[in-house]
Amino acid sequence: MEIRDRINAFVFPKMNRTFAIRLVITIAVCFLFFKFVCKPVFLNGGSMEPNYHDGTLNFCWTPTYLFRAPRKGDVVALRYEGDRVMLLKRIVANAGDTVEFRNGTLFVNGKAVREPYVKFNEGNWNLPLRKVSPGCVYVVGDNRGMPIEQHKFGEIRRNRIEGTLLL
Amino acid sequence: MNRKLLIVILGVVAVCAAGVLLWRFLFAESPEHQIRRTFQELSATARKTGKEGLIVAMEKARDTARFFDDVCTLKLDRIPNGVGAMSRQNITANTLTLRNYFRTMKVTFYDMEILVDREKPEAQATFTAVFEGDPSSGRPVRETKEMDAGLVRKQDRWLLTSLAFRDVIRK
Repeated sequence: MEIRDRINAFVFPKMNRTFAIRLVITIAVCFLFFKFVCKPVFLNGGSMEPNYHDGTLNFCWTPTYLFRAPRKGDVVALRYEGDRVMLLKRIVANAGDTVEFRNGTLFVNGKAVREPYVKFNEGNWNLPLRKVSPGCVYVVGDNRGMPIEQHKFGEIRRNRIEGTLLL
Repeated sequence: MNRKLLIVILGVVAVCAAGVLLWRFLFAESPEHQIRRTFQELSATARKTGKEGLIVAMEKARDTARFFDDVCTLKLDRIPNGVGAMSRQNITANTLTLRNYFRTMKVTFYDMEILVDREKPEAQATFTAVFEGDPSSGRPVRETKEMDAGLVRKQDRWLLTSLAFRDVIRK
């Protein structure tokens, strides 16, 4: 009986002042949490296939880079059009590194990079050598099976990194 | 006039003046805010929501050009007449062409970073501009570009002196 009462009290709480305060605080905390700390993102596009699927929901965890700098291999959400549109890419090179694609193989600072996360690769990506500008990182999607012209990748300012993915 | 009444009137005037000064001090718009507002106004002015007559289009194009200094340097590659020094008249003509071409169009500015020169009335702004346009025939256009803009303050208004494209992500 006691348990039943407790469940009832939990599911149908009395609308008193304490409950109203709790409700307001919960809503405010949730709003702030999902607005600034753990932003929900819907993935649109297949540039990170097969590791992140088109049309799925994920969360962008913003505090990651409060404690450490972005590293090669990190999958990051990048602000593209304000907060509304973000790009999801993997960091492959930092400022000052050189980047090049030869027949689908990524070369950073002249060395071929082993990329176990790349499952689709037609081996036809070619990009002349370039140096990553100061204050930027070089990002590429995991799906190299699509034509290089259709794939949005390259150097982007570091301050556009919003966070890492949670799931 | 009664001396007491005169003192009261002067007192009220002094309090009002102090209030106005305090208001201006506390709520004065910073140059950064003014520049942000300028871009919001430019976005609202340049927007086209449907069919419009030639006079309205002309008026809107002229209003859009008022956001630019009389000589503005554009480096907007891949846009017809998008490179070179432009007068307000050139900008009006180009805007009019654009408004005629698109049935609806909208430009939105995001992620604005502003650097104001405190000694000269000049500023630099970096932002992301998103252009969405639906032409009368053909596929809708949606372009996202990072842009650098130079601004100068003239007659209490911030005017664009330069505009240049920079890709958000560069291969």
